[in-house]
This record gives sequence, structure tokens and C-alpha cells, in this order.
Amino acid sequence: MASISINEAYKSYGQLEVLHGVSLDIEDGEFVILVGPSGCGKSTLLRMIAGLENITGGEIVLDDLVINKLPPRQRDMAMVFQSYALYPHMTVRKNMAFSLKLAKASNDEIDQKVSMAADILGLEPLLERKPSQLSGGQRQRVAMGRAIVRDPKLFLFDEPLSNLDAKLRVQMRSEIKELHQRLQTTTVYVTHDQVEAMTMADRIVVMNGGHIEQIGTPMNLYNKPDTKFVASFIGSPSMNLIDGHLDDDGRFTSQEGLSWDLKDFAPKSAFGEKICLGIRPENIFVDGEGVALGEAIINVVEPTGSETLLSLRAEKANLHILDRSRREFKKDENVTLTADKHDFHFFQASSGQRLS
Amino acid sequence: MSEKNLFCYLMVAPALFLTLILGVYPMIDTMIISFQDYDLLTLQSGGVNWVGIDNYSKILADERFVQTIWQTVWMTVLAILFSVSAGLLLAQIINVNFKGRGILRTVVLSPWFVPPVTASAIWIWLLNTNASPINQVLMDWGLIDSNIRFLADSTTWGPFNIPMLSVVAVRSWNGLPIIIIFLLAGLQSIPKSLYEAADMDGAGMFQKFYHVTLPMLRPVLMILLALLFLGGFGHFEMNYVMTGGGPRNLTNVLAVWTYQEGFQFLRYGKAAAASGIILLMTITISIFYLWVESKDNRK
Repeated sequence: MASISINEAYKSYGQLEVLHGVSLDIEDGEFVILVGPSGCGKSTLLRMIAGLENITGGEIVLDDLVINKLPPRQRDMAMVFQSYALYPHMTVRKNMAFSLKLAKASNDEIDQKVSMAADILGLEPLLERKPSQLSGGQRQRVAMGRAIVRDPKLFLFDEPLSNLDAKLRVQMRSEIKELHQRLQTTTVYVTHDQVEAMTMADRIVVMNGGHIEQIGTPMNLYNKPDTKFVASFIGSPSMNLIDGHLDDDGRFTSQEGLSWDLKDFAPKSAFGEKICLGIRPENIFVDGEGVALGEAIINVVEPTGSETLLSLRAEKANLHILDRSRREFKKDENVTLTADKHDFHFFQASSGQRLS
Repeated sequence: MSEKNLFCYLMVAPALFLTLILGVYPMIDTMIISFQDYDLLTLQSGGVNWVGIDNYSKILADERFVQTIWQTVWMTVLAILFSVSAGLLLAQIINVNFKGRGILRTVVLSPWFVPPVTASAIWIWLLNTNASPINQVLMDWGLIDSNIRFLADSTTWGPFNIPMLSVVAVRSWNGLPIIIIFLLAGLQSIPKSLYEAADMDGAGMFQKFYHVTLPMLRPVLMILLALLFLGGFGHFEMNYVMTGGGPRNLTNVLAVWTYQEGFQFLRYGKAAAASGIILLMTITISIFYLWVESKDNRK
């Protein structure tokens, strides 16, 4: 187990800089997830921690030791790859035992550790099979088994669930979380799926364009996104974001014709500013109480049973609502919208920064 | 027969016809001759008679022929050993992205552009005892006192001698490019993530080569070795052009022996029997290869 500290890490490929000075501290035993859209630098950062990519600038410190120049094999980290990267010519047992064999562990020790890992992951019946004889989920488990037999200082996961079907992904999500709770090994996990990030992480690092946008607990990111990007990225379905102007009297008007009175709770710094107003679909209610948002016409009704996603047109604006009242809606129905005053998010239009 | 099947047979027919006429028929005919007393010098007077395995018994009783079989095996094994080892190393180097890779690749693949007979002629000059630039260089560096007789020294160490090693070296050099191309294709099909996984697992450079590269190259290596052994046992031109089997039969191989027996001494029966021995050796290699392949597929 270990703590890791990344200080002003830069990464360039020739002239192209892909990480622009990233700093992050990860505590011992923590489960941290790097999340962001494709090309945001999350996998690059993970590979820099692993030692598979050189560090152009800054430093990475593992337990007070700067590891910038250490080759991967000397870092005592285990990694689960997106493609699993199992050795196709080795059986499951040999795949899992490989690192121990290289470390010159005794046969007894290897057998004991492989059995233990196989037991944790339910791999005993598969130990003599080759990777080609396994399903996607089983391969994923073997890749995890290969990582845990070593009892490394750090687990690194690079989008390990992206090749699995939706049902298996949900199952493996909870298995990985359970595994972490059991082993308490410091874990850095990369995904582009914000649901994965929200459900598994102790802390989430939201990355965008080679920068860190925000670091926080899942609920912290959900409740109080620092930037418009985080607001739109975290949460599913994503937040309604409406560009407009908050005049000096606290009335919000958008180009689409919305006009809402927010003077009682809008932050003082937002008055007289061009702003982007955010409100989550699950925080808008039909025929409820609170701040009046006017009337809207239902365009599309998508019921999932426990909740119903509504696409509406309010004036000329498109809004999404997640209704959990289990009421039945019809297309073209006219409804009145309301929201709680605590559920509004105000962002500066120019910078995208939160106003509070 | 359905129309589709007929079309398939029609398409295959020309190639099949040529193979039958130019490959299968001569092979069967040669095998028939190998059991006949077929000697051009006595053909007029004695005719052609069936002699059973007489030709085989006679050539196998000939010490020089048995020596030739062993030399064929040794030269093939050595050439394969040298060229595959060098090929593995060079393919690895060429596979890495570095400045000047294109130049190195061209240099390494250049022997491919030289036909074996031309290459042999060039090397005869390079290895000529009195005019050899190689001897000159070694002499200038003070590594040797007298000229090495690359193609004429008949001193032997067990089954080995300098002319044999010289011919093996040239055969390896000429065969290297195709080996490199095979291995490069194999190397490029190995996912990079396997090396990264091995990095994370704690493997060093040699361990990655032994535990990842070699097993992943196994299918390519198997077919390559099968082809090299098949080609090696039947190899003719370089041995024939460079030494003609000499000195004192020390570099002779089965194909050259067969040619000499058939077209110099006109003893077709014995030459055909020698071909039968080559065929037996190549069949053994083919069966071994198919057995290993099927074993791999069953796993």
C-alpha cells in the first residue's frame, strides 16, 4: 500500500503538449478515478504513473521516492489493461503466476498466492484454460487476478470494463469495488464513463484537455461542480445548461425566450452578468412547489419504469426532466415546471467557472 | 456437380495441371527410375531393368554418399541456426522506430536482390585465397599471418571445415532477408500491450524476449523452419557454383551429388535413388511439421 503524489506533471509528444501541469495527491488505500472525455489525458497520466510513458516535466512521488526515472518493473505497481493483455500462450494459472515467477518466488508461494487470488475471483475452475477459451468477463477477472497475486503497492486500471456488455459491466463494477474494500490497496482507475466513476470512486478527478477540472468526492462533484464542464460531464442524464443574462433585478432571460425570477437566491456576483444557468433533470418537477419555471410542452416521453425521462420545449428552449413520480405523461401535454432554489447552478458564461 | 463447384475446379485447373506436369509427374518418374538400372552409358546394350532397391543399397554403401548426407544435414542446420538467430536479432532492431531505420532495412534486405548464382560468383571472388579482400583486411589488422583458404582448405574438425563454414555463411547471408521479412511480420502482429503487461509484471529485456516474443513468434517460426529445412535439404546452386562439392567432397550436398551422378556420370538410376533419399528427408520434415501443427491446434 502506498500514497502517490503527482506534482506539476507535464507530457509532450514533440511539439504537442497533452498534459499541462497536473497535480494530484492520492492517499494510502484510496480509490481514485480519473474521468474525462477521449483525449483528455487521463490514460496518459495513468501510464506515466505506471512508467509506460516518460514524464516530460514535473515529478511523480511514490511514498516519498521520486519515481520519474524508475522503469515499470521497479515501481511495484500492477496494471489491468483495457485489452486485458493476457499472454495468449499461457494458461490462466501461468498468466497469474508470471510476475511471481519473475520475482523468483518459491513454487509453494506461487501456488498459494495464485490459489488465493483464484478463490477471491472465482477462477479455480478456469486455471488450466488458455485465455482464448474464456469469455470477456472471465478474461477481465484473470487480468485482475494477475494484478492482485502480486500484492502491489498500487493498482492501476485502464478502462477495464469498456469491452464488456452493459450487464457484465455493472456486475464487475461492484466486484472491483468489493475487491478494493477487501484489499485496501491504493487504486488509480481510468474511465470515460461517469457512472463508473460515480459508483466506484472515493474521489473523482475530472480531466479535460490535459487539465484537471475538479477533484472531489462523487457527491461533491454532483452537488457542487466547479465548472460548467464538470456540471455537464457528471450526472446522467446530463444537466440542463441555459445561456442567458441575469439582470440587476435578478431576472434571468435567455435567447430562447425563458424568463425566470431568481433574485432571492442568485449569487450577488451573478447580477448584471452573462451567465450559464444549470439545473439537473432530476431537480425539475412537474406541477410541484418552489421556483416557478413556467409552462412547457412535452416532446418525447421515455419511461424506464422507476423513472421517466421527458424532453420538453419551454418557449424555444429544450429541457430534460427526470420524473420519479411514476405519473403517466403524454406527448404534447402542457405541464407547469418548478424547481427548488438550492438546485440552481450559476456559471460565468465567459470562463465557465462557478459563481457562488 | 453444381455450377459453383464447376467454376471453382475450372479456376484451379491450370495451376493443378502445371503442378501435375512439372511437379508430380517428374517426381513419380524419378522414383520409378530409382528402382531401375538406368545408366545412359549402358542403355543401348543392356536396356532398362528393374533392380529393386539395388540403387539405394549401392549408394548407401558408398562412404562418400553417406558423408554427403551428413554434410547436407549439418550445412542445413548450421545455415538455419545462423540465419534464424541473426534474423531474430535484426528483425527486432528493424522493428524498433529509430532514425536511419530505412537505411538499415535496405542494407539488411539487399542480399534478396542478388540471385544466388550471382551472389555465389561475388563471394567466390571475396573468398578467393590469393585475392580475397577479407584476407587482406584480416592481414592488415594483424589477425592472421597467412591467407585463409576459405574455399580450399581441407583441414577438418569433426564434420566441420573452413570451406563448409564459408558456404554456410554465404547461404545464411543470402537467405537472411526472407527470414527477416517473415519474422518482422510476426513481430508486428504481437500486441504492444503484451510487452507493457510484461513490463508491469517485472520482466526485463531478455525475459520479454523469452516469455513473450518467442512464444508469440512460434507459429511463424514453425513454418519458417519447415520451409528452411525443406529448402536446405534440396539446396543446390550455392554449393555447386562455389565449390562444386570440393575440396575432397567436403562441401558436397545431396542435390549436387545427384546432379553430378546424373548429368556428369550419366548414372540416372543412382541419381534418382539419391533424389529418393532427399524426398524421404523432406517428407520426414513435413510430417513432423504437420504433427506439431495439429498438436498446437488441438491445445
